[in-house]
Amino acid sequence: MQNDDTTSDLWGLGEQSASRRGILRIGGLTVAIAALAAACASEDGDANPARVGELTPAPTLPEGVLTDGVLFRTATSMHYSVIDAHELAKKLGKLTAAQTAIVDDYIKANQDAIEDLQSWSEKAGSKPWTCANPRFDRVILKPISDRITGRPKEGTEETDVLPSDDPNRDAMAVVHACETLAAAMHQSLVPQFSKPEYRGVVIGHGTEAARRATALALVINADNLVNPTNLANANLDLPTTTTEAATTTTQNIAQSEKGGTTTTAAPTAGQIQQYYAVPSQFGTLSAVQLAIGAFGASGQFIINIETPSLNSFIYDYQTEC
Amino acid sequence: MDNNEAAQLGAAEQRADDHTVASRRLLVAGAAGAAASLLPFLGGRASAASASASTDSTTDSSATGGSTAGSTAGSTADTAATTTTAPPKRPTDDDISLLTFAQTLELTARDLYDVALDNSVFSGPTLEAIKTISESHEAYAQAISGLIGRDAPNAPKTDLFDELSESFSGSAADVAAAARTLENNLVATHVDIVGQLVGVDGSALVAAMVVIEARQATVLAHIAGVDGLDEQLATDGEAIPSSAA
Repeated sequence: MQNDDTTSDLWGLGEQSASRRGILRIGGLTVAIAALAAACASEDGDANPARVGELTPAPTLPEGVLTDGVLFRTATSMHYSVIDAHELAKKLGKLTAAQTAIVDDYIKANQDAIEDLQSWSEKAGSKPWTCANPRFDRVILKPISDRITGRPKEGTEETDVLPSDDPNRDAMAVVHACETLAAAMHQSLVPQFSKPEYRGVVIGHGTEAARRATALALVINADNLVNPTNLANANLDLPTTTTEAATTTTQNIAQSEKGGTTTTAAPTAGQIQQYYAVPSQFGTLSAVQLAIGAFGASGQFIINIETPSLNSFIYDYQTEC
Repeated sequence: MDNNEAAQLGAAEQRADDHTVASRRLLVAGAAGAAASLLPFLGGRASAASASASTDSTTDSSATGGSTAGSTAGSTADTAATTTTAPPKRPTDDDISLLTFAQTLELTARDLYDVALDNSVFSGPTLEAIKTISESHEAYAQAISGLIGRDAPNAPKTDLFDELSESFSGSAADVAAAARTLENNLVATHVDIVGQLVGVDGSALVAAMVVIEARQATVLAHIAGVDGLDEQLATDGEAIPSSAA
């Protein structure tokens, strides 16, 4: 006796007991029909799927398109932030009259840069930006202010933030770091612009910021002309007279043998950060390290200040300061 | 076998033949159904392949650009022609001419500083600074050579050297003043060059050079005894014309 009744009629499958072949036939036919139906079905999704209760629509984030105008707007915002930092230094740093005059000159120079960059923003097809970079002020300036003035502990901090032992030293360091950052920012923007004309504009402002940082480094310590690492690379056959400070970051596109130099040398415990008029052989794009505040067991508080990037650009959809 | 059995057998064979025909029909119908259902899928694959190919070509055409080009490529996947505005990475022929000129200036500056160093008018920190600045100019020339390869002249501008060498042979203050003027002129020249270079690599390199040359100009002003902040920060350099080569 066989399991499959071969005498049954094809369309009489339902009248027979289930067999393996019968199940295979029905299954194959079902798959083929389902595939045909799926292929021919409309691809439009349901715009209003069923749901239970009220639901706030998901917000639609604006698209951040990086254009030449955005780069000019970002540079403008950073110069506003540099001015904010300079004003903070004047407010908290107990500056001398000579120091105040220098910082005022630097504020004026940054205002001139802003005016020029705003005009270039318009030429590049964007609306000029008229205030500071919000991310920079929130992430950089606030901690700097706290380390100079001191504040009670917050969150998971174990101790209060002590006020600076030398606000004047820290204020001048802030001014120097911000001008160094401005120079690095303009250098970093050069390869991002699409037009050579725009690159020439920003690197012009970069050289001016670099000069300001250099002049201030000489005001802070007139003996620190060149970074000792550069001296080593220069193969001098004579004893050096400048003090070498520990370096913690490396980026120098021309000096692989020595591992590169830093724009500023981060101090170890008990050391004061050193600033050099010529900090490296090539302009660097590494973070500007700023050591400020009272000395703790591991030295001063060090904050890394980065040049603007995707999360701090001033995109065209940002319309309010 | 009696007649009844024979009749039953005949009927069974007839039903078996009918079933075989039905099975074939089922198989043919199933195959046709499967083929029909696959048609839209295969058609979709074919159009997807062509769309993918066009997207890839768009991405490739913009791969040489900077971050600006990247965003352009992303927003114009179906308009590949617009991505051709992305700047190239490598120097163009015109860029090579500009970079060649820049390298001759750097080697001239190195040779001029070497004149001052040979006269031993500097000592201590200022000697270190002058030596370091000289080495930096040589490093800039080498970096340009690395970028443009065999097109690099690897030679100074002799006429510019002859014109300035005397001013690098005086006292320390005189040399510092002359060197400051040279650095300011180099800054003006290189800013001008950055504003003309089309290739991104060349622009980035010259930008990394010129911000340090600006610092060197300020240091040399300090060495020359220029105390006023405005004078130290003065950007009074003039671009050196390439026709003077």
